[in-house]
Amino acid sequence: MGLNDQVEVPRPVKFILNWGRKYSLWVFNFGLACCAIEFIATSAARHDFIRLGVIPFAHGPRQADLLIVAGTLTDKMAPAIKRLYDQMPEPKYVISFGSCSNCGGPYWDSYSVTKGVDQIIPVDIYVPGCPPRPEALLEGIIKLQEMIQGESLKDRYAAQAARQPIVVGGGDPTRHPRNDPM
Amino acid sequence: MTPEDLAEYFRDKLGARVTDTKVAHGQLTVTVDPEALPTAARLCKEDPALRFDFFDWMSGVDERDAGFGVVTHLYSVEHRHHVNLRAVAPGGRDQPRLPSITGVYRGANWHEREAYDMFGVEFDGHPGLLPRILTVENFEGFPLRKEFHLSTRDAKPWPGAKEPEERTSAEAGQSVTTIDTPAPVSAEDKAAAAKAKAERAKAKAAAMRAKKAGERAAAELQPAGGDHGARAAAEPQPAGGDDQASAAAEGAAPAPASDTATMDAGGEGLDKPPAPSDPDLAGAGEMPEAASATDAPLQADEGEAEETRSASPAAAGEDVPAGTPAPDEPMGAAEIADSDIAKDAAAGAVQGDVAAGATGDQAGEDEPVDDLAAETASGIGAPPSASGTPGVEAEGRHGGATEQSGDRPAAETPGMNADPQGRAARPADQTPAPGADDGASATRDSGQAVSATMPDPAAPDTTPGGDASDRPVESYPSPDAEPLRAQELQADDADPPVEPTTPSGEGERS
Repeated sequence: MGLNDQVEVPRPVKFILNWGRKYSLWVFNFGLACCAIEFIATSAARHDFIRLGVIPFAHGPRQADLLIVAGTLTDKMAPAIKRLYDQMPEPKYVISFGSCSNCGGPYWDSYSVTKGVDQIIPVDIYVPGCPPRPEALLEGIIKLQEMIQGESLKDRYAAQAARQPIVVGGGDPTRHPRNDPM
Repeated sequence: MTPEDLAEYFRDKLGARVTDTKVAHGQLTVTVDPEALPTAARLCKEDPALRFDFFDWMSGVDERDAGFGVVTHLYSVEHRHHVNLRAVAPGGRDQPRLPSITGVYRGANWHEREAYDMFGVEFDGHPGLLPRILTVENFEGFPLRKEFHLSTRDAKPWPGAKEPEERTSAEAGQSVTTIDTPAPVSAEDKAAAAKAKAERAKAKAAAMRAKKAGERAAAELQPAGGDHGARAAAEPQPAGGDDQASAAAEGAAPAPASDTATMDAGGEGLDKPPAPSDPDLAGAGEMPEAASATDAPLQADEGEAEETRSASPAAAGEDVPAGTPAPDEPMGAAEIADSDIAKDAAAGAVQGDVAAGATGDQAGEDEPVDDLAAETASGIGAPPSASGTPGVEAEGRHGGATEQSGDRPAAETPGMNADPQGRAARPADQTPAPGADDGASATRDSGQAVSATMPDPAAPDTTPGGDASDRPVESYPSPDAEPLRAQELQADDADPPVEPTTPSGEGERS
């Protein structure tokens, strides 16, 4: 971070910086349903997103730059994804992969499914499909990289800071049900 | 033992506590008195002749008037037979209670918690039904009960077949009782939803218009009045609309875009980032789109190269004559105006809005915004444009009114939302030679402006037939797309359905 979030770095520096960032995205895979299989397929030999500089299976959220939410997010799971997202260091990016995580998908009227992961965490790229093809994820990643290349960290931090946290079911987002049952 | 023998055996052992036995599909279901459930379970497990040592699973059943039942599926590995132990919880639908069998089968623990979660059956003697195991801790209601209300369906009715509880009793062929069916969504509701949608589109349009207004203000600072000014004000949009991919690929093509940037941005820093406010307008699909302009040079190695390459001929080759398409505007324009008006009306977009704020070429800029909104509302939205293969789109451009109206969003949307982002992004990447780029583009642009404006006065009278054929530049999407909008707007302004008004509007503009 350093001064990054306070001053606009000179353009050439920013170019290099962003160029470096966009080609080393450690991805934290949040596989929740069948879309996770497509994610795995994308990481495997045929599609192999490591060639785009996307490094799969970060050891944990604290080592990751990119969160890919693949699959059906339920209200029960929502606090967990929020916690893990919060543990990721800035700057962090989110790809919502598949209809379920985009908007609830086929479970649009379910009593238990969160209608889109963007209700919990901010999403940078949405990849539609049920499930999307691996190519779609690749394109999403490329779009994300384009976004990273063009962005200003200072402004990103400012935007992040301005966001209000959304808490599923209300209350304190750091609450853990075991210690503090409702 | 056969199921029948088993039934006999249960009756022997439990006597009156067995209220019913039934064999179906080779499986025995024994209904026992709820109080006797643990006793029956213990018998099942420990009686040497039964020896049901495997607790398979337990399910809750909504028995409607009778309340809730719980069926325990048991299997004997030793004897290889099944039994379903069934008990209907006393307490009706209000307070179903059953004794727990966790004392007999420990595995029943989570199954009973699940039955509680889904049906609200409470189990006496259970080590702890809370916190809820499947649903969110503060979940209200029991979702598998028949009367559970899916609130989402108030907003949007189930599009498929009716579910059992929604059928009338005649349809269902059984007694449907006190279930309060969620009323099938009525026409009013649908109308309300449509209205809300239109409302949203309107809000979006307003936001976009505000943004556009800012840009326009900046554009008008440009010294060139009259033709140039008007043209220039109108130009930027299509230039941006020419899809960022192509724009980025060719040194020339970006010119208009970056030109716009300098013009519009005026004092603003060039590398104003993808503004945080943008996402609101842009929505999900557009973000990537907008970003696509960001790194033309680096992109090449990312597979977008093909796209750019295919796009570039259109951008490069058509660049000079690009101005000319202007005359052909009137042709499709009038028609489109018509069809579009119709569409707008259909989509419930508010025409009054446009008409109110629109004058001259200012209107020209305003209108598309609203138009876009209408289109998004009616479902022909931005998304298709995101994939943006400009060449292809351009091909179909002169096909006919319908086609054009179908196309237009593609040409428009990038213009609107990619523009700002493109502006933000370009300088950052192409640091080396932004100045040169801009200069070149500026000249080209102005050249365009002149050639474009020349034919304009004459244009109004040119009728649909002629121009499509004699236009060599058919495939250049942008200049042609924008003026269309301007025209149709003016048509709106004066008197929507009447075509003749367009010429006069056009005349004023140029």
